[in-house]
Amino acid sequence: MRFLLVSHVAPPHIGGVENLVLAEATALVAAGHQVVWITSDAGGAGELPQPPANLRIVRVRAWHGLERWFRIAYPLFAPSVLWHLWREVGRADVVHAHGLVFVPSPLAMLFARLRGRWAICTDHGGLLRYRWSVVTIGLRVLFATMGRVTAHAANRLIAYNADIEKLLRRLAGDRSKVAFLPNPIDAALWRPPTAAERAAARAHLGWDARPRVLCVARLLPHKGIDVLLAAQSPGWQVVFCGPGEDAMREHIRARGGVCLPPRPQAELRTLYHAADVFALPSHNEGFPVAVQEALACGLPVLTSDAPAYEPYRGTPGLHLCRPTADDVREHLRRMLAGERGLVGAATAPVATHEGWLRELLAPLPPTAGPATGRSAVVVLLLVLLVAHLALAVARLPGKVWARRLGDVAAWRERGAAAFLLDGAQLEGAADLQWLLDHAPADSAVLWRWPADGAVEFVATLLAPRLLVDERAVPAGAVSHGGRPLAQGELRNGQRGVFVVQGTADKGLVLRVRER
Amino acid sequence: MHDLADAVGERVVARAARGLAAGVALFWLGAVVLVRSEAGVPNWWLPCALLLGLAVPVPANPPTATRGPAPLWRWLAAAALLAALAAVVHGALATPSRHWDGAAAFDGKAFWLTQAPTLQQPFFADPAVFHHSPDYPLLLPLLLASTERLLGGGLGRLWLPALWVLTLLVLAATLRRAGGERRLVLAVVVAMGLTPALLGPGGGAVDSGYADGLLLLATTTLAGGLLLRAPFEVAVGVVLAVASKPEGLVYVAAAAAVLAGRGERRLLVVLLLALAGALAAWLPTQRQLLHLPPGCAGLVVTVVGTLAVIGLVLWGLEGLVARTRSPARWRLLLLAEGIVAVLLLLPWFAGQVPPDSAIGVYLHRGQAWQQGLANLPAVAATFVDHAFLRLHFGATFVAMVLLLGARAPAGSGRGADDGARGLALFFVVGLATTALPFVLTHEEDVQHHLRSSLPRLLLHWLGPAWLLIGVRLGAVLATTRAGAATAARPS
Repeated sequence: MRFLLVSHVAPPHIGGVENLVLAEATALVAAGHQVVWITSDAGGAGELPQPPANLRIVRVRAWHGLERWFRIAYPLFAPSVLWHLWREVGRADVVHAHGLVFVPSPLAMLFARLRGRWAICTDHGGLLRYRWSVVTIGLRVLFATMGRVTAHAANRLIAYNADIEKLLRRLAGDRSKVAFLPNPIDAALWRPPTAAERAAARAHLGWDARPRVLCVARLLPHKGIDVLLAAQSPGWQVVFCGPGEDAMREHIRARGGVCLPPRPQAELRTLYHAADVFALPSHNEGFPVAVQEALACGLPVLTSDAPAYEPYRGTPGLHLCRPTADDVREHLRRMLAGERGLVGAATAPVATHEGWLRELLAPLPPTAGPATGRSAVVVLLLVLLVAHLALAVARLPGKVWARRLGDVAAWRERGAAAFLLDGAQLEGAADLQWLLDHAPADSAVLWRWPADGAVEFVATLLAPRLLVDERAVPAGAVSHGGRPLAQGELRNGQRGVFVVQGTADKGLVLRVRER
Repeated sequence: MHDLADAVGERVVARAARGLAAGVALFWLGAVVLVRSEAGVPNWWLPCALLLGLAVPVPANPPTATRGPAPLWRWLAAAALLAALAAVVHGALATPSRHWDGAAAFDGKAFWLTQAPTLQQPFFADPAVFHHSPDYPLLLPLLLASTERLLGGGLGRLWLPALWVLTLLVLAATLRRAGGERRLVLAVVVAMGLTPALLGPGGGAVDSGYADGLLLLATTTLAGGLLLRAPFEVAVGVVLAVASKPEGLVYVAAAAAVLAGRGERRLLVVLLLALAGALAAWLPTQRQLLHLPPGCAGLVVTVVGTLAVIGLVLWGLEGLVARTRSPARWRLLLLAEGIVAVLLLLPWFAGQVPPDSAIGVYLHRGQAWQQGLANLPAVAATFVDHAFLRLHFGATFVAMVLLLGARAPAGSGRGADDGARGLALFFVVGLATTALPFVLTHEEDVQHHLRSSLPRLLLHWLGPAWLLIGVRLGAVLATTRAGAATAARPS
C-alpha cells in the first residue's frame, strides 16, 4: 500500500502533531507500506530523525511569517504544493491529511476524491481560542470555508476529543464518516519504568528525593505555565521541558521553576520515568501527545477538565481539574501523596499503531476494483468554473450596476438622440434633436439615401412620426399617406420640407427639400 | 423536508421552463399569421398561448444520490442572480433600448405593433416608409407589444429580463432531467446567468433590446432537446430559432446536419416537421414585410414539399446506411457530400431567397465563398480575442476547449452518452456556422463587421456550452464518486 501523509509541519519543528505524524509514518513503514509525507519547510530545534527507506518526505516551500511574528503555526505554502499534491495523490492508495484548515488539507482531500483515492483527515486542534480575538475569528472563518471543503471531500474524519468530533460532524454534513479514535502511542518506547530504571533516571538528572512535577510542552501562555507556577509549593518542584522564548524561560526561572531545553524522545522518556506527576493545566488543546506519553509511562497526569476530554474521563492515572492555581495545587498535593509505581501497573490506555491503523482503515469498502483516476482536465474545469463565477460576481457592482446606472443617467440627461449618435461617434445629434422638437407628432419626415449609419436610429427616435423615402414623394407634395410632411424654417433660415440626409461618414444632416 | 422542497421546486422549474418556452413558440406561430389580418393579434392571444404551454405535461426528473446545495450556497447564488436580475430589470425599464440593434431594429417595430398589432399600417405596409430589417422575425416585437397593450407603462420590456430567466430555467430543467446533481446544476446556472457578455451593459446584453437573448433561449432549448433526445424540446427550439433572428435558421440547419450525421431519424423528422410548420407560418408574413407579391399557398407548398423530400431522402439513406458495416463512416461521407452539394447549389438557393432579406443580402451581394475563405484567419483571430482574451464570456470557451479536447468520460448509458455527443457536435458545427457571415460578407470593412457581430454570434452558443459543461462535469464527478466509494481496500 502507498500512503500519502499531509501535514503543515514536520520535525525538526517541535510540536505534538509533528511527532504524531512521524509516529504514524514510522508505523506504516514498519508494517511494510510505502509512505510519502508532504509538509512545509518549517525548521526548528527538534530532532531530525533519519527517515526509513520507505518514507519520503517532500518539504514544500512556505512562508512562516505568522509563526515567526505571532506564534501561530500556519505556513502559507508556495503554489508548487498543488503540483506536489496532485502527483503524490495520484501515486497513493490512501491519503491522510492532518489538520482541517491548513492549505494542503482541502487540496489533498479534493484531489483524492477527484482521483478516486481514499481520503482521511484528522483534526488536532479544532476551534482554538487565541489571545487576539481577530485570530480566533479568522480561524472560525477558515473552518467555515476551507474546513468545510476538507470535511466534505474526505471519506473519513478522525477526532480525538469530543469538541472536535462535534465540530467535524457539523462541518461534514454526513455524520457517519466522523469517528472518534485516540492517537496511538509507540508502546515499545513509552512504557512504565522498573524501580531500577526510575532510580537511574532520577540519578541521571541529579534529582534528590523532593517530588518533581513535570510539564512537557511548548512554553506558551495557553499551556497554563503561570497557573502551574502559581500552584507551586515547597513540597515539590515544577520542571518545564520544551521549546520557548528566552523571556519565558527567564520568567519561569524567576518564579522558582526549572526550565529544561527540548530533547529527543529517548531522553524525554527518562524525564517521564523520573518525574512524580505530569501536569499540564492548559486550554486550547486536542488531547496533548505529551499527556498520552506520560500516561503510557505510568506517570499520573493532571490536566484541565475540559468538556472536550470527556471520552478520556476514567482513564487510569488521568486526573482532571479546573485550571486554577488553587485547584491544581490541591490536586497535586493529593496525587503526590499516592504511590508512583502503582499507577504504572494500572495504566493500559495505550492504542498501538497496529490497532489504530485497523480502526483508521476499517470503514474502507471491500475490494471492488481499482481506484478510478481522474485527469487534470476535471480539476481544471472545476477551477475554471470557480474562476468564472468569481469574475462574474466581481463584475456585478461595477460593470453591471454602476455602468448601467451611468448609461441610464446619461440617456436621461443628454436625450436619446445625443446618447445614441454621440455614443456611436456619428454626426447629427443636434439636427435630430432639433427635428424632434419641431416636427409635428403626426407628420411624415422625408429622408434620403444612404440608409446606413445614423439614419438607422432616426425612424425609431422620430416615432410616432414616419420616416419616408424622399424618392417616393413627388416634388411639391405636402403630405404622404394622409400625413403632412414636416416642414418649416431650419436653424440656418432655410424654409421648406425637411429632409434627413445621410452623409458619407454615416452621420446625418438636416436640410430642406430642393424645389 | 429539504428534499421535498427541492423536488417541488424542481417540478415548478421544469414546468415553467418547458411550458413557457412552448408557450412563447406557440404565441409566435399564431401571432405571425394573425398579424397579417386587419384586426391583428388579439390581446388575449399571448396569455392564452402561455397558459396552453404551461398545460404541457412535464416528465419526472431522475432521483439524485446526493443532497442539494447547502443553504449558504443557495442564498449566495440567489443573491448574485437577484442582483443581476435587478440590474437588467432596471436597465430594461429605465429607458428604451440604448444600443444599436435594439434602438434601430426592434424598438420601432414594437412601438408600431403596440399602436396597432397588425401589418396593415403604414410602417409595415408602405414601401416608402423606412423600416429597419423588415424581414426579421417578429417574435420579440410582438411579445413586447402584446404585453405593453395588456399592461401598459412600458412593462412590455419586462420580457427582456424574463427571457434571460426563462433561458436559465431551461438550462436548469434540462440538466436536472439529464440526471445532473442539484449542486452542480445550481453552479452551472449561476455561471451562465452571470456571464459578463449577458449582463453587459453593451449591445447584446439581456436588457439591450436585441433579440440575441431570444435566440439564446432557442439554442439552449434546441441543445437541450438534442441532449435529452427529446422531440418536444427539439420542436420548440426549432420554432424559437426561426422566430428569433435570421441566423436561427442557420442554427437549425446545423442541428439537422448533426442529427443526419448521427443517424437520429426520429429527431430529424421532428426537426423537419417543426421547421416546415415554422416556415409555413412565417414565410408569407416575411414576403408581406418585404413587399413581395403574396403567392402564399404556393410558397407554403414549396417549402413543406422541399422539406418533405429532404426528410424522405435522409430517411431512406439512413435506412440504407444503418445496414452497412460501418454506418458512421457512410454518414460522414454522405454529410460531406451534402455540404459540397449545398455549396455547389448556393447560386440556386440564392435565387430562392429575397435579395433584400437578411440572408439574401449575403447570398446576393456578398462575395463568392471561395474568395471569402481568405477572411478565415481574421475570423479566427477575432474569435480568440473575444472568446478567450477579453473575458466577456468568462471561462466559457476555455472550458469548452478543454472539454472537447479531453476524452469523454464513461457515462451511465448509451442514451446519455449519445445525447452529450450530439450536443457537442451541435456546439462545434453551430459555432463553425458563425464564420459564415464573414466568409459571405458584403461589407468592405471586414474587421469592423467582425468586431460588431462576432461577439453576439458567440453569445448564441452560451446555452449549449454550459449545458455541455454541466452534463460532462456531472458525468465525471458521478464516476469519480463511484470510484471513490469502491476504491480498493488496503490489505
